[in-house]
Amino acid sequence: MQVLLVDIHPHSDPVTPISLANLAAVLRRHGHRAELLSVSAGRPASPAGLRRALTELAPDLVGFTAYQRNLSQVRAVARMAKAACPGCRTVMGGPQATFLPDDALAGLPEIDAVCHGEGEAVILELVRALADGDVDRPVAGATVRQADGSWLCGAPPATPADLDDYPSPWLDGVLDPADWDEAVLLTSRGCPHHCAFCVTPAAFGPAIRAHSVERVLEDISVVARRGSGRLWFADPNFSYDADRVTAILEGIVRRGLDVRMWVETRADMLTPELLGLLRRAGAHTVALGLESAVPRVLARTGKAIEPEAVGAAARDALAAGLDVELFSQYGLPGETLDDALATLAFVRGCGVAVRGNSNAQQMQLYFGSALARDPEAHGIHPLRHDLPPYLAPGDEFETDWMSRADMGRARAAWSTASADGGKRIVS
Amino acid sequence: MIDAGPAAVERVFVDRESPRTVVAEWLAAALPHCAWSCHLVVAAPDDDGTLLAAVVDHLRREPLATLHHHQLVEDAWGEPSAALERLMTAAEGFQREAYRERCGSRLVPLPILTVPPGADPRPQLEAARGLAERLAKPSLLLSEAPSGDVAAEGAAAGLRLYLGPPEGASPLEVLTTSHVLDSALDRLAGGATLLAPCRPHLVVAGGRVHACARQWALGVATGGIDEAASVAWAPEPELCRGCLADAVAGSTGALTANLRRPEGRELALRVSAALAEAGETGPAAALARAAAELADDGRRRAEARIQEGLCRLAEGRLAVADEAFVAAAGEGVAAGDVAVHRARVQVAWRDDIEALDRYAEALELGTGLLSTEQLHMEMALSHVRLEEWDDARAHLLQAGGPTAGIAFNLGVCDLYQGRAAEALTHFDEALVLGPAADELGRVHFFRGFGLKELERYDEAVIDLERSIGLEQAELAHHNLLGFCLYKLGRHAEAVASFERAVELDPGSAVDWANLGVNLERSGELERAAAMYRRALRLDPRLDFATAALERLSTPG
Repeated sequence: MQVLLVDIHPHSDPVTPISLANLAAVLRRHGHRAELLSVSAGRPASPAGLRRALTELAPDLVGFTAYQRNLSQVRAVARMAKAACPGCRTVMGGPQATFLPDDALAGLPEIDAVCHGEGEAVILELVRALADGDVDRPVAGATVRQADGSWLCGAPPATPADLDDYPSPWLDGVLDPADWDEAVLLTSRGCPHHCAFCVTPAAFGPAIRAHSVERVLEDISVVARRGSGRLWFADPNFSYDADRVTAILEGIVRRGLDVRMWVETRADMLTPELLGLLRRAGAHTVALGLESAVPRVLARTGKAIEPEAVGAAARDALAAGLDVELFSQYGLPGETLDDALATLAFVRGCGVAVRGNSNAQQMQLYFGSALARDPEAHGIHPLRHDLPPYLAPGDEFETDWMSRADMGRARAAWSTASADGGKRIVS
Repeated sequence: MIDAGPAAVERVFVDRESPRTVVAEWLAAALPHCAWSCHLVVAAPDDDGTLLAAVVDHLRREPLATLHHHQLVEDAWGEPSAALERLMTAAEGFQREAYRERCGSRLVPLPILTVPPGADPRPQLEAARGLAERLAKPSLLLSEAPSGDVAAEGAAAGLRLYLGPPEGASPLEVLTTSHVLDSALDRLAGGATLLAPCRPHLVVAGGRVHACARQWALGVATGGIDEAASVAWAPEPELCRGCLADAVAGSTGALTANLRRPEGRELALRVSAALAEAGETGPAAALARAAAELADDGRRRAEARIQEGLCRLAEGRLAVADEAFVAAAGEGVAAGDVAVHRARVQVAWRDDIEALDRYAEALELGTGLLSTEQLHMEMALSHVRLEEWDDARAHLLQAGGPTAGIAFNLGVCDLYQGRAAEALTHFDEALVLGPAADELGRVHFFRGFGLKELERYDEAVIDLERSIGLEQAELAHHNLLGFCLYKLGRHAEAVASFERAVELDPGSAVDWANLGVNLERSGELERAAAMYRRALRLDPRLDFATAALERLSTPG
């Protein structure tokens, strides 16, 4: 089978499509042909060019990673694919798809299947069903449109306990580091925390599964040898295990790998020893999750951190010669405009430049988060009640503590303080 | 990865003069080949809606197309503009579908409201706020720099403020310049190479299609708009540097109006450094000056002025360089550092006396640019150039070491003070320590010079031949080699050396005469006489040539 996996970033430069590349690696290992296509604002193709590429490849299945922000483009490319390659099927995975309500397919006529589970396991089953010409059979981890227009939801898929069972797209040549200014590595999945605004715990479960240190170092070696050496870790919780992080960093140093890394980590991990090790291993930036500088607000979101500890860690990292980014957002439950402005003052007080990922953004309500399941119970009031079932409220809400205008004021304050026009890199 | 074609054109600029119906036909053919998310910038009112109709048709045909429609509007402060209303109505239809149904085709209205010269921009600000509430992204085209209040209001409303056009320029020029600047700011934020072409774009002007803004400015077109639908973006990298430098240097007002001075300063300084590294010191200096204008504190202003001074120094514009360094001193740069920079200007000016004063100042005040030993070395070199051998030696003895440079210059001091044997010891030490590649020729030359002083001509010839191998265009090397060969009686070889010497400097009377001497000794009397005559035409005071010529003219 010929599979095309399309990664769409409508508002930014292309990003290494690590999740889709993982799927492509699995498909190729099982004898299928799988290709990747990146569509972005940073290096945009023309509609004519996209049509030509689709026609020439003639895929049997086109897959997409869907987010709320790229759903319209996903739908458009799916329509182009169906027009250019009659008979091809389309599947949508990713955060937006994982928790999509069952009735959402009715509003997405160009999408034939939605992947709810771990993509590697689901895509293989889906391709097998297509190869067998049996599109009506249940596929584990997916909801599939049937020939009669109804849809059928499969059982949860079986996933391996050891992530190393999945092939590496870097080692298998699905991704060529030379194609990317910055390589993305996804070395673990899952998160044990329960932040109310986040979809990760629900998407991957509380148990963390990680690739072995050796496998991660092999991936990094390929990136260092063939690519720019710039890499960042997309793990939802890269630093959950201090021993593992230390082993990876020491391995980079021991192997003499020339890399420049962006690393998200926890404030309580940043000891002087680890800061030194990060520098030696090639880290240039550490990112810390702050969310809010107001403990009362953090407590309501279930984020178990102390802002002062984050501030101290940021200052230590800056003193050690590392750049620091603080992730924060406004519009959280219990947060007033003054609280939001206090977070801005806190970030600046830490000596962190308001740029890149340190630009705050309004909290987003996405399918799968605790807040999105029952926003009103958390004092959050979605503003639109005519949304189609495949769209979550996103940022279109007010709270008991901040009106829409207050959100605008918070945005303006952050934008004015920003050194780069407020463009966040990692959303 | 599969390839969906080369980088597609992301922005199309259209001027006021090109015929609208022809442009609309061209757009219909060209837009499907442009980026799926594309900007159309129309630098004139679209009074009859012809261009808008072409855009709407394109969006209706393409499932994946976002068109950012930048449209100049000249009368938004008075009666409602029909063209503006038409754009907003068309856009709102797409907006509804896009936001409610997640349709892939979008029309994003970006009206550019012009503010006439001398007019208060507040009516346009108010109109822009109203348009923003209708999901437009308006901007203002101002004729003059806005007040701080207006700039702040614009920033608070998220408005882009275009500034211009300057006298003689068109709105299209302002808008294309902004594009070049924005592309560079994006590259700066993304950590990309700064000296690179900007984002793919085309300029439709004067009924012709131009492959980039610079080519439009230079009048280079890819073809007529009524010819094939040309959408090939074809920047010429050698033009990009100048284009970028002009855009950044000319945008200090716009950066200030948009409250983007810090980014602008960083961009100007970084592009300046990149241009300086590429040897384009003139534009680099202009950008450093722009960075100084954009700096909001003395430290950053001084950093930029130092950069400007260094560029001017490399360019050879020494007075301007010195002026920049003096200006940096006024902004709080360490006085010792400024003294070092100014000393280098004096060295370039060949005013070593003044340079020594500056270095002495740096020595007294302290500088982070050079160590005490390095300062002594610089001072020693100035004294060497002034032929002040004792002073030079005193500084050389404080210059640390041992280094090849110190040993070599000690040798030069000894040589000129008549101590050739001691000089040779120093030159040998320099050779052992390993002089820099570009100094090796000089070391051999002076070693040859020392050997000549000791009348060890055979050995001198070996060093001088090595020095010539390394520095073939040095007249003195050939002259000295010729002399040594003469002393050894190797006249034919001496002739060759002096021939090379006069080749390098046909005005060197003594070398013509030396040529004559060696030809005479070789028995080529007629040629020798001719050489003597030529030498005397250049310098009649060469007594030995006069005597030789008389000797050759005397029969028998």
